[in-house]
Amino acid sequence: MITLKNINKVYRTKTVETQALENVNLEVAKGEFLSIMGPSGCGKSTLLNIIGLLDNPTSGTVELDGRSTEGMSDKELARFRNETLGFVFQSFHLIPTLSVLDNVIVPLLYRRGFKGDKKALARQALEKVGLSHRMNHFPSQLSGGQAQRVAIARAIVGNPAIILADEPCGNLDSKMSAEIMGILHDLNKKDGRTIVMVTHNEAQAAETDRTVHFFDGHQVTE
Amino acid sequence: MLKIIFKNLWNRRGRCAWIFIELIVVTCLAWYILDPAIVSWYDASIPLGYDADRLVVVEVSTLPSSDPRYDSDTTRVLADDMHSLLTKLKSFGGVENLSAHVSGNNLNSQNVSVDQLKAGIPRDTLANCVNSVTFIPGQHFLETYGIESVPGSPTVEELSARSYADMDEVLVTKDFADVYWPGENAVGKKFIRGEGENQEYITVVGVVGNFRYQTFNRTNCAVFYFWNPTFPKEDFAVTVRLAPGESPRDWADRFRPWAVKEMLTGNYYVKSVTPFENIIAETEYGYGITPERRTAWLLAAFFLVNLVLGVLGSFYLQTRRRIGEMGIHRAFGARRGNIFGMLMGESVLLATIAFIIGDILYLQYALKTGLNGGHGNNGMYTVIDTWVTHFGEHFALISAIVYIIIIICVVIGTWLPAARVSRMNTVDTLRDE
Repeated sequence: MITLKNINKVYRTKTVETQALENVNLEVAKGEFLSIMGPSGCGKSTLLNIIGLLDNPTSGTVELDGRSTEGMSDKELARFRNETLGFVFQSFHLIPTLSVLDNVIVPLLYRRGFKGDKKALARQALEKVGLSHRMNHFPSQLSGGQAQRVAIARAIVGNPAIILADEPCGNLDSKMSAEIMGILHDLNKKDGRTIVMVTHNEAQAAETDRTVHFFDGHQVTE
Repeated sequence: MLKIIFKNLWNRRGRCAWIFIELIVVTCLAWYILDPAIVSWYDASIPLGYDADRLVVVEVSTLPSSDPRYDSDTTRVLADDMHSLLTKLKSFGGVENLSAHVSGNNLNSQNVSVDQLKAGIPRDTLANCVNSVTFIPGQHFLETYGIESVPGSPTVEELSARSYADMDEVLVTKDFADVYWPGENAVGKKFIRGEGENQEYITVVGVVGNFRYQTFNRTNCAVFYFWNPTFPKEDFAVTVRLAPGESPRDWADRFRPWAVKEMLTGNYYVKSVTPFENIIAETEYGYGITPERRTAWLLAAFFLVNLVLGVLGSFYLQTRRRIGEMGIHRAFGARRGNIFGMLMGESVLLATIAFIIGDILYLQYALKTGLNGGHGNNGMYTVIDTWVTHFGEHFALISAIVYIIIIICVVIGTWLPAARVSRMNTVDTLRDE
């Protein structure tokens, strides 16, 4: 489902060159729940951004769903992100001026040729995360756990094959974290979605199918 | 996309309120400042209807009896002296044509002659005011000013050759003829001039193209050609058309010392030589047009600069604050064009709604006080028909200009940050959230 080959990522400024990722090779199978662990600054989020086509590797190739993303134009990348990937961020990244329902609809706005009922799909996604009663609220009126559930609803509304979660429980207490992890496991087990999750929490990582450890941009163990 | 644009604006109404109010105020201010500037610019841009280039006005006067050069010979014939003086003037290099007239009766003079006329038909009971210009027959007034006759009328040469000796023959401009005899050839038609016992019929003997008496109003002249029995007087003027390539200023500088030596004819002497552009400037200044126009245009320029900077700054800041939000859209599949279109669409929509409200507010004011009419018709009847005097057209045109200016400012103000945000790396934009 996801194949990374010889991925390198170097951040350059005028005076400093930082190797964020070095020669990373990774395969994630369809329906797998993979967790990525490592200390802060080891390149976990950079890797997730590269898998999510939000950032380009300095060298190496990314294959998603059997397609190489090398040389894709901005339009193609945007379309690929829209149709194949769903993101869950640590700080939720909900749009504060849009209602819960409208936040969830966002990916459908950019779905090419979509003729269906966007609101109905968004409602279904919210029902799935148990937040259909909050659809007319605004992000500022939600708790952290609720906000993250909205973010998950937004990630799944377009029915993507891959969900990328960057420390989805990083800003939540243990009870809410458990709820979010439960939802992610349901999406993986029941819906068969491939999930790649960055986490600092070993217990959460232990619940996943496989864990990859990173240190200083290197993949150290699997 | 339109829905999300509306929703964004509606849900961000608190944050957009100040910029919205700013745009409403800007619309009203733009109207108030730009309307007089545009009307005055338009009035100045209406063609004069004659060729004002290479014209010089020579004022001729009579020596006072106390002057040592005064000729006290009472047998002198003023008309002969005048013709002799004109012959000398024509012999001076660079003169193409000339026409003598009553002093202060050249086009663009500060003096305005007005006459009241009725068409010689039963239905016309109202005497209409017209600007009138009086010229001496036998001179080349039309040729000097470059005024053409219209089809159906005698040629310029024929009209110049007429004696107009009976004082009951006139030339009129085309618009003026059309007011009285629309669709008909006015040549041979009659007007009634005067009231009661003084009432007299005057006949139209020719129709010429429209021309304006002054550069700042929209009045078409009626031209009256007749022999003035009191002419020549002690003072008269000559409008001189210079040959192609002659500069009126240089010609005047050359002519003045020559005129002092050579132009004294009988008791006539050249009092002043003024390039026509100076005549126009003096008349405009005399009527207060120049300072008024300068003020209007400077105010408009100052306003536009401030408008561009103010609106640009406001929209720049407004757009820059939304980098993180745009990153979210990018992460979920928005293309660069979507981001650019969304930001641009929001700005244009906000500006359009604010403009509509501002425009309606100004309309209320305009309905009470009227729109800027410029210097219009000076109470004359034969006014060039333009959008300025039609409320609907005037309001629509200035509204369109104000809207375009505001939208241009808004588009520029949004374009730069929107283009930058849409080109930014998605990870960087998300960091801004």
